[in-house]
Amino acid sequence: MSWGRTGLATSVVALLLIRWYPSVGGIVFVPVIIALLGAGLIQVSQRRRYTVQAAGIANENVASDFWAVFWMTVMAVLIATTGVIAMWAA
Amino acid sequence: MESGEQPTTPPRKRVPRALHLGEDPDPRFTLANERTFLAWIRTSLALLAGGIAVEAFTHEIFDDTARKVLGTLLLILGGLLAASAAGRWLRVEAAMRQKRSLPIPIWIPLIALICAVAAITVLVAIWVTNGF
Repeated sequence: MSWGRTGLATSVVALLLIRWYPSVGGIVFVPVIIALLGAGLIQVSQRRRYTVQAAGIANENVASDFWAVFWMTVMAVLIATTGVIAMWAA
Repeated sequence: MESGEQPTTPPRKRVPRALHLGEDPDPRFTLANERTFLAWIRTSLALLAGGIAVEAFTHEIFDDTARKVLGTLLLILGGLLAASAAGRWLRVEAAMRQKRSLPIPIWIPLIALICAVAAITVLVAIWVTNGF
């Protein structure tokens, strides 16, 4: 559920960013595509994630998902950075 | 090296060393740490959405420069919060593995202060624009 909610929040950010198109132009689609890609990857990986986590709870051992945390952070930082660039490039 | 820092599980490749020192914590704690990280990421996304909304929807309240500066501040804060959430996730995971006390979240008072200042700024701007 937490990853699903985060994916939905990312989609909302992407859709809100489209509102910039009239004033900022095509460059706004860089953060939009990053956010939509991130949200899509979260949804696609949900089944594998819940399978691994459910098995991990049953076996009393879940490996921390470093790369999911890493890429989620990279995505949020990239949206912020490209958003600032798009805002001032207009 | 302290006994709590001895690797007891086979090291996973290409992850920070802190994630294979010590002992595996209870899986519920690992998953709770991940959920807390995600809650911070959603807060970061909310700040990003706020920055986007300020630029997109406040033409009648702020002039161009003020709008861009406020939007930029919110976007930068959102990015910093996401990076700090990842750092905290790693520190908490390492602390749980080595059975140390959990680190204190230093960002919380700062974020509360920034949110209060932002809310007061918007309130004053609305009063100045529309009168009391």
